[in-house]
This record gives sequence, structure tokens and C-alpha cells, in this order.
Amino acid sequence: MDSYLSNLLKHLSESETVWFNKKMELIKAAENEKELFFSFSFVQRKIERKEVVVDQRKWFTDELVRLFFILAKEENDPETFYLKFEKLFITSDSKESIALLKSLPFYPYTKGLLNKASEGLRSNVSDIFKAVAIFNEFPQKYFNEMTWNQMILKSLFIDSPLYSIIGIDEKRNLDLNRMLCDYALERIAASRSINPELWRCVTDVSDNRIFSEWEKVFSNGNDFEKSAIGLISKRSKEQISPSYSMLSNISHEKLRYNTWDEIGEALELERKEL
Amino acid sequence: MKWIDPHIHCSARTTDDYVKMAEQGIVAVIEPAFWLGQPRTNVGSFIDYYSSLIGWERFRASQYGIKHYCTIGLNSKEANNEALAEEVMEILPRFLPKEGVVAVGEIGYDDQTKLEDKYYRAQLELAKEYDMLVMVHTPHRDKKKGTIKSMEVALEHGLDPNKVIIDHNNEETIQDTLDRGFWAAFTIYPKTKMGNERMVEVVKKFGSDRIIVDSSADWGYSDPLAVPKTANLMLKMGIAEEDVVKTCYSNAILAYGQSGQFNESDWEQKTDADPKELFEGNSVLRGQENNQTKTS
Repeated sequence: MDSYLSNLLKHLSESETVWFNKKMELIKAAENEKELFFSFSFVQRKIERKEVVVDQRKWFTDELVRLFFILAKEENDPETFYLKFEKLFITSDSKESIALLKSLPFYPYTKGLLNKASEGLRSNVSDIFKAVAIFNEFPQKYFNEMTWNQMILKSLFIDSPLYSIIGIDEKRNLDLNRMLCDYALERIAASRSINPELWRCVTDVSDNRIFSEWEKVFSNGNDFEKSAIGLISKRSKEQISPSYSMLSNISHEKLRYNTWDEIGEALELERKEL
Repeated sequence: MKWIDPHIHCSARTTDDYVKMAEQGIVAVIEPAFWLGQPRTNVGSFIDYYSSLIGWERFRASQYGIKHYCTIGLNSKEANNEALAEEVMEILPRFLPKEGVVAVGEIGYDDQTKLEDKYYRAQLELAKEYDMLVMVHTPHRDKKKGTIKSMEVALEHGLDPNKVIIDHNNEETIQDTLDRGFWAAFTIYPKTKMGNERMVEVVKKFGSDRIIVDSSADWGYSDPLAVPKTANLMLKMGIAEEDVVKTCYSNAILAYGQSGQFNESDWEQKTDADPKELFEGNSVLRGQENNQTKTS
């Protein structure tokens, strides 16, 4: 946490630092939670929002201040901590919910917050969903297969990037493979395009309609789509389909992106520019 | 032209209203916490209501290019349920410092009962403690006496009248409100309270200083376009543009801007509503173009 603190302090003005330190002391010394609740919300009036990058992840000053406020008073048992989190969570506005969920990996006790994390995934506000889904170790560590798979599928539905999901390759599973193929088939049937990142988690295909789709986008698709097919073809033949020959004839030299991360990143950039 | 509706209960309105409001030039709204028609029976209902004012409704308005702010408070009607009111008072401090909460409100009197008085005063104290503005709902019945009492009690508690907006004024109460240095807001209802034409007369007679026009549109018969309609009528009736802008736009900024949470730059610099902000695989726009994209 030291690098987070020093990074945060670099981005705070003198008066912000004074306020932050004073409130840290007050929260630590407080007998009840009133000070924490008040300061947690008051952050928006006192701390100017600035971007802070720590460990390649994008945070905002207000989010980090909130995280340190939550950690200011050490709790000795999980239940007290969970209760504190619950109270902050049920009255949080969107920015506060995002800060609370983004901070999940940094809490002293996390296991009991599984329901809150899932609730974040169900949110209608995409940034709250992303606070759980991307650059967060919590899902990989605690989500069961069902919750994980729903998270991946929803990411595709709302154009949230897959490459930023920690554990995206490690947690691949057959049920997810099936869900993604079914989803791809729905898109194909409706003549809609398929987010090329979808194929990252697909390892087992038997439906010819998907092969035809691959052939179609490989000859007429955009760079993202072509590169994705190129990456599929690099997988062992047994994994995809032993009898399917199209993939083995692909030459990789002309493809623009060479890893799934590159595709995901470029796609995200393009979406932002649109 | 740009307008602000500083009192409208958007939660009770449809998305069609948002579309029309944006088309008519409304750039920002304030939604005061009020009662829902149906009395609430537990504090959880209040928590969820306040949360939706700072969360979901703000998000929904943003999809139509309208900046949404709110006030948080225990309304006078429900102050009469003492056990519940006590619980609500406990949770108010959790919401008052949130982003975009511009005042404690709308609070005040309805039947002017003892309990209403108790919680009005308690909330005035909260406003002082949190250094916040107050939006006062003045009663429909026994109006003049109730309006004067609302102001006298606020002064008794040491509030600066410049930080208190007295709403639902009429021709009979405005002089008392202005004389005491409070902001005088007028609600334009299609049939009751103030009508558009009456408002024109008020501005002709009292000028535009400290006067604010709003719709208070809610779940009842009301008009979410009351502010732009009144503004246009004022212009047509020969009221100077400067006075129209003051009463239907800039006075609201002067009054509520004191909160530090209501700044013209919020909507002047706003980026286009992001139609790609989706939820449950659907946007609230459901394929409809948002106003920003449509006009740009």
C-alpha cells in the first residue's frame, strides 16, 4: 500500500494533504462511524479529481482517499468490517460505489463481500460493473464459475474489455465456451458482428456456422477480426477442431495484432475515439 | 435559450418529458426529496429513494443531456410519523454531503403540526451543522401564516436568509419573503398555485431580483415545461430578456451555486451524453438517439 499512498500524496495539493491527514487521524480515533461516513462523502467537496496511475491501473485521487479512509481504522474481526462496508455501500452514490468495489482487493477481509461484488456486476451503470470486472483480482479469486461466466458474457454485451479482466485466460472453462458459442450463433443468426475478444475464451468449437463466420471475417473483416482468427489458428488443432483445415492455412505475418491483449487494447481505444 | 428547472420531481416523470425538456432548452434540474404519494412505512424506503436521487435518476437525466441535482430532507407530511421520522433523521447525515446535493429540502410545514415543527427545526440545525442551503416547502393550506412562520423559525435558528429558498410563493406571500431577504421561488402549475400569466404579472410588479421560477412537476397534474413556457410568455409580454434570464436561469445559479455543488461549468463543459453507457445489455435510450447526438 505504500506505493499507493506515496503516489496519492504526490497528486494532492498542500491543503488537500492537510485535510486528508487530519481526517485519517480523526477516523482512526473516532469511537463511532460517523466521522468515517461524513468524511467518505465529503471527499467530493475537498479533493479535486485527478488521475493517478499505480501499478498500471488508473485510479482517481478521490477513490484512493476513500480507500485510505476505509482502512484508517483497523478492524479486528471480519464481521465488524463487513458491517462497515455494508453501511457505506447502501448509501453510496455512483462514484462512491465505484471506489468501494475497485478497492475490494485491498481490504483486510474480502471473502464475505462476495454478494456485494456480484451486486456490482448487476448494476445498470457500466462504470460500477467495470469497477468489479476490470483490473480487479477479486473475481479471479472468489467468483465461482457461474458468476465468472456471467461477468464475461455481460462484458461482451456492454462492450467492457475482456483483456483487462484479471485471470481471463486462466479461468476459461467449458461452460463458458458453450455460452460464448451460443451467443456467437445468436449474433450470426441476426447478421450482427461479433466482438473479436469473444474468441479469446473459446477453445472448443464444433458448429460449422462458426467456422463459416471465421472464414467470412478472415477474408472481409477488419484488423481486429482478422487478427483474432489468426490467434485462434495458433491454438493446437486438437483444441479447436481436428478436422477443420482452414485455420492451418493462415499466414500470420500480415496480421496487425499478435496477442489478445493487443486486440483488446486497440478495440478499447477505438471505442473511446468513436 | 437555456433554462433551469430548480424544482422538479423527475422520478415521477417519463423519458418523453426529459426529451421535451432538453428540446426546450432545460440544461439543469434540481429534484427535491419529497413524499411519493404513498406513505413510506420503513426507513429502508427512504434510503432507497435518496439513493435513487443521487444515483439512478441522475444517470437517467444525463442520458438526455440534462444535469440533475437534488436536495435531501424529510418532507413535512411524513414528519408526522414520529417513529419513522426519528430513523430518517439518523440517516440524513449520510446523504447530505454527497455530490450534487445542493440543499436540505424540501422541508417545512404541511398541516403545521407540532411534529412538523419539530423536524423542520431539527433539519434547520442539520443545515447549519453541514453549512448547507435550505429549500423550504410552504404549505398549501393556511399559506400566508405558514410561509411567514417558516421564515421566522429559520431566522430564529440563526439561518442566513440568503441561504434559504422559500418555494411555492404567491402574490400574497412574495412581499413578506423578499422583505426578509429570502429567495422567493414560484411554482407554475397548470391549474393551481401560480399560472404562467400570473407569473408575468409578478415579475412586472416585483422585478426579477431573488425571484425563481420552477415547475415542481411531479406525479400529479403538472407541467415539466412550465419554466420554458413561462419564460417564453414573459418574453412575449414584453418583459426584458435580462429579467427573464434571471428568473428562469441565473437566479437559480446564484442561489444554489452557494452550495459549491451547482456550477454553470457543470453543464457548459458537459460532454455528450454517452449513449454507450449501457445497463443490463440495454441503454435507457433503447435505440433512440439521445438529444445531444441528435442536435449536434
